[in-house]
Amino acid sequence: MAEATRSEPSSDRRGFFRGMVRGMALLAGGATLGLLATRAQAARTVWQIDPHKCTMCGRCAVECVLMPSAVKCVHSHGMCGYCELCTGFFEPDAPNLHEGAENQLCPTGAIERTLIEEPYYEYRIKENQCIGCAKCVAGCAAFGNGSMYLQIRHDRCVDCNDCAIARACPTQAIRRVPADQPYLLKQVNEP
Amino acid sequence: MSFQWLTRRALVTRTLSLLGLGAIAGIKAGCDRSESCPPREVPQAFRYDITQLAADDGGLPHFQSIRSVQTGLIGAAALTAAPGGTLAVAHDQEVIVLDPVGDIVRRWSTDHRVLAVHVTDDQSVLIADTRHVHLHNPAGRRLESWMVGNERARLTGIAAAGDDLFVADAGNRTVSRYRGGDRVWQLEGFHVPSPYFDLAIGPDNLLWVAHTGRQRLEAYNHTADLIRSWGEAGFAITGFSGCCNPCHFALLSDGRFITAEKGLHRVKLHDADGKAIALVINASALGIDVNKPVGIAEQQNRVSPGPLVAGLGQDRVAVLHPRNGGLHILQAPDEVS
Repeated sequence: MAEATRSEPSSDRRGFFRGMVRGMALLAGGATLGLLATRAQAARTVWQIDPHKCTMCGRCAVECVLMPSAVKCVHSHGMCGYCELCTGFFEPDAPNLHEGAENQLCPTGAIERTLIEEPYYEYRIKENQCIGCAKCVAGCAAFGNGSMYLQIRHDRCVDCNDCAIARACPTQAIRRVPADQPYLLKQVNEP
Repeated sequence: MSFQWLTRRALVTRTLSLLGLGAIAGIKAGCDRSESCPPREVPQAFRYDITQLAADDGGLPHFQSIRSVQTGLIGAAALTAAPGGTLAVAHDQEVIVLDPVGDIVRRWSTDHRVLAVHVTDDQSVLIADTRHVHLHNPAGRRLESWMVGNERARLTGIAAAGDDLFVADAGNRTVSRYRGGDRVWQLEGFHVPSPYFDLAIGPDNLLWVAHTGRQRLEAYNHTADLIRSWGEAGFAITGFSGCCNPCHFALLSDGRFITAEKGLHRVKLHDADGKAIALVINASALGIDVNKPVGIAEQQNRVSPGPLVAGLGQDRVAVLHPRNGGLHILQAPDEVS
């Protein structure tokens, strides 16, 4: 009984060291797996549009294998002038400056115009209606600040090996980017 | 025997048929993946085309070109008339003085990017960078500097009359009057969606400001009272197109206006009441394709994508386009001279 009592601490210590070694081995294994997973994520790439090379040709709307296209207009509100007369929203020769369909540039009515405070209006893209035709992007770039631009939305892009819009793009504006940084966003300029 | 022949013939026929179908499918698939295949047609409804609007002159008489030269001043930020019929151009970190036909007379450098320039009657040169105004002598030596803007400032226009200095700040959307380095008053409440906010002093001593978010020109007296305004939004020749127009303007000695618009890239002459009376130059004559998108890089570099204008006497106008560096000297037609 006494021997058994003496041997217990020795057994516990050995068990403790064994447990510690096992724990460290598991930790090291987990760390290795985590590192590998991070590296795999970093190495993975997805398609994205470089807004500085995009010429708003409209092909993103018709060439993507998805219907409607995975390309959507995104709007940088920090760059927007909140204009009453927004050339990304209104037809160039719009009869009136209100939200009537006959005045709107977007062929699917995918831009929502909201009065914030006279004379400032906010413009929001309704992604479910946007088909990525870039008509609003062209209007915004021609007259405004270029706050509207196209991006491939990765909640719907199927990431084809051979991206149909990348192949059709006349300026090679579509390229692979790291999957952990899947968007090429415009930056608001500081003076 | 005949059965065997039939079987062989059938086998061959079927094989050839399958091969043919396979070939057709292969060609179709190859065509779908080949770069030589024609791209799909983009519907007209997806295209943004303002060619016709840019070409519309509304039946107005046209200015006649006297001289067009390539200055190489791509990215110029400001153009102004100087005494003796000369022109001063702000380009990057330089001020360039041109003679009345566009040849370079002299140029001098500064240590900052010049965004606005004004030449006084005694040929002193006032220039503005993002936050400061600097006074230089005609040879380019800096005499004095004032800090007039805060960290949000983006100075876009500068004018002087007597001891008064007027500064337009697109970043803060204000116009300020200074005397002896002290601010006398500041006008607020302008809608300036982008850094295009020009001003000039008229022959009647009124301060004219381009309220670009409202597509109009506004006149203020020296006590900051709004005296009058004119201008309306519209792509027709009578209006100012899109947002942030007129991006630049100049006043002639008889009180008429020269206005420049970005987007449609056109320059017009207006009478003293603002009525458009002549087309100075349009996009095609400026060598600009209106459907070619404005380079975002141009905007990021804060290069004005609209024409710069200056009046040379009553009947002559200078237009410099920062996108291609082309300078055009134009003469008013007899109808409006």
